[in-house]
Amino acid sequence: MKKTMISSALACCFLANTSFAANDLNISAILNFGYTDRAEFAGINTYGVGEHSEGLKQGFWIDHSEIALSSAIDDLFYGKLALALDEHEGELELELEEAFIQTTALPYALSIRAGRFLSNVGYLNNKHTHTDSFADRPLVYRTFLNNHYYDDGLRVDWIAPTDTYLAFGGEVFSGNKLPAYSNKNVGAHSVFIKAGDDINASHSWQLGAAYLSTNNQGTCDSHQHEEDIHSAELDEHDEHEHEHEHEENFDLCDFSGKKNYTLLDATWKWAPNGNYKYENFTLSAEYFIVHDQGSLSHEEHHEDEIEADEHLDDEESLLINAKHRGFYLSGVYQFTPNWAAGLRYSEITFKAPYDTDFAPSISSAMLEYKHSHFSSIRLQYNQDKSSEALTDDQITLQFTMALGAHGAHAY
Amino acid sequence: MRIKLFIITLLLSLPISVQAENSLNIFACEPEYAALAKELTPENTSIFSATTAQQDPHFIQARPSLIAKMRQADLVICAGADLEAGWLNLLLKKSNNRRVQSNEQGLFLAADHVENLDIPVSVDRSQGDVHELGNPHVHLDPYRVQQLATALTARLQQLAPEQSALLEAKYQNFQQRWQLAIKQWQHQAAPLKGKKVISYHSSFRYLFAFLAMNKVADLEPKAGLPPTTAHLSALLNIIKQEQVPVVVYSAYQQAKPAQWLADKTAIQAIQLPYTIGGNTQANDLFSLMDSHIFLLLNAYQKSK
Repeated sequence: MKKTMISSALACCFLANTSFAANDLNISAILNFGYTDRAEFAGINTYGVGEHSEGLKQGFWIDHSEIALSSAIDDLFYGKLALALDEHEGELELELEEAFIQTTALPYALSIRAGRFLSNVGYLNNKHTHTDSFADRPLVYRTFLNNHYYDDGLRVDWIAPTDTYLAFGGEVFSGNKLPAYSNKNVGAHSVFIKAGDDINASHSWQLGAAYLSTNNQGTCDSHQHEEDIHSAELDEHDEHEHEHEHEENFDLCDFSGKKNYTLLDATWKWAPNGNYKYENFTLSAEYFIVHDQGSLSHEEHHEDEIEADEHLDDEESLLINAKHRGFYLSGVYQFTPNWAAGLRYSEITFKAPYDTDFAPSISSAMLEYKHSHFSSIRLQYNQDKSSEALTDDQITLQFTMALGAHGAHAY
Repeated sequence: MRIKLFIITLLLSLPISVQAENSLNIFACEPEYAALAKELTPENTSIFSATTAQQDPHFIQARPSLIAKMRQADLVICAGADLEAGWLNLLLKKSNNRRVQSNEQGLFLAADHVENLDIPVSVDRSQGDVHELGNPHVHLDPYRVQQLATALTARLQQLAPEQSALLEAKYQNFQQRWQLAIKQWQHQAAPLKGKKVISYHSSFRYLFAFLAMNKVADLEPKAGLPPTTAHLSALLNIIKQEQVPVVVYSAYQQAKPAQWLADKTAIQAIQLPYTIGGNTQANDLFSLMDSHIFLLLNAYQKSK
């Protein structure tokens, strides 16, 4: 059923391409597919994470292929709709990643965005993953933001009338999307500030600071529950094999309370004389402080529990007030119009009750070939130390291709 | 009192660009349009060029500094026809500046006001990064510049009606000088007529059309794709068979492929300014054209 939906959606787009071209409706499809050789996801420290936090799937995958439509609606509004494809346990799913309108005609350089959109916190979060320089998001994004945080809500932002770029904004969200699972009408909110400028023709920079607060007292997404059982069984299995070699992973939904995120980001770009075509370098870093305040239910996994399918028995709750810290640093050097190479390192330091002696980390290296503006092939190696029990060498070959209108890439 | 003074000094020291009343703030995507605006506006107009002659206008980063500049603009002048597809729309959206969103008001795209060459019958990316609306490098044809000056003056008068008379005077003055210059260029460039040339990209399409030169091939195998060894090897034969004496590239294009051809054959590789600042001679639209013609004449003279 879902498959028919997608093919008909695709068919409609290609038809539309001819009939609407004059109306400036931008239609694009991103084909993102690849092959990853990796071990089964074994958790990130013992922290509870969502389904998108596991990273790239073992074997062939087509996740984050995307269809997007965007256009000016009239002289006051611009609109965008983006559907992302994900395969989950053999089921093809369409995720509505963006469906928003944005004002284009408010006075005083104000702008309002309403609908579903990617939160403007951090450097990477508001970007689509296919524009990233690596096949997967850094460990901090996977762990704390479920890869990327998008939600239904409202954003207001303002740009100062200065020669140095200064933007201020705030967002309110429903809090119904991971990493939030709220029981309130407004379950998440953020404020952000961004600044940036050129040093000279060759060098430019951007700094950002954001604060995001999510309510995590509502019910966790049902998907997650299926996953729970699945991972609980796996853990059970693991425990037999490894004989308590590693501690039990907490589940995402074990946490109840509030999470406050402080995100700092810095980006520096260089190209000789500002001519990006032949050679350029991008260095970017983000630092996360994630403050978990609430309670964590701690389950004792006995064999009979699996049968019972009930997690409420034998549950203990412990209070948690912990500030976890994490960062990534990445450098990408494009050395010809066709070739780029990059290195990235991401690490997290957890506070109790998680394992404080083990700081999960992932080191990545990638090599990318861009045949044109619209097609790229990337080879990536990850040394994944996100679980204490396992150091996993992962290899990914990724193809990212753009069909139709190809939107500009943000700084 | 002291505190007041302190606050005032503090406010004044903030990098807020203070503008004289009645003066326009113009954001030009490329130096050629900054130069055209400079010819047509009074001296107190603030004109900013987002790019330099050393930067390929197809590959510009939508940098924070450019968003900040566009946020303050009353008029944005760009080539259009998707030359700036990788960055202009992003800047427009991110600038939150309502004055420059409409191409009937503060957004002036050159391609909307002249006839573009090479509009493809069908757009197929297997042909390379072909611009749906045709070749956008229109500023190198003096006749099209003339049309652009007319259209831009009308737009400036629409945005600053109180300066209408002054703008009209500026326009008349420019047109007079420009028409004289065209006559001179046509006279000077007569020997270039029909001459064979190879260029890096279709950047000089309109210049060759004006000079009635005969472009034999591009260094790019397909529009927007960087030169490949296979394609360059094929060009070696074409150069020998067709006796092409000159290969040109711009200040933002790599010299290497053209130099490689020059090493292997009798062809001469020359760098043309392409836009203002592309060499030390090209300081405005007049000297830009002077420099193009001078460099080409020189090259073909040598090849004799």
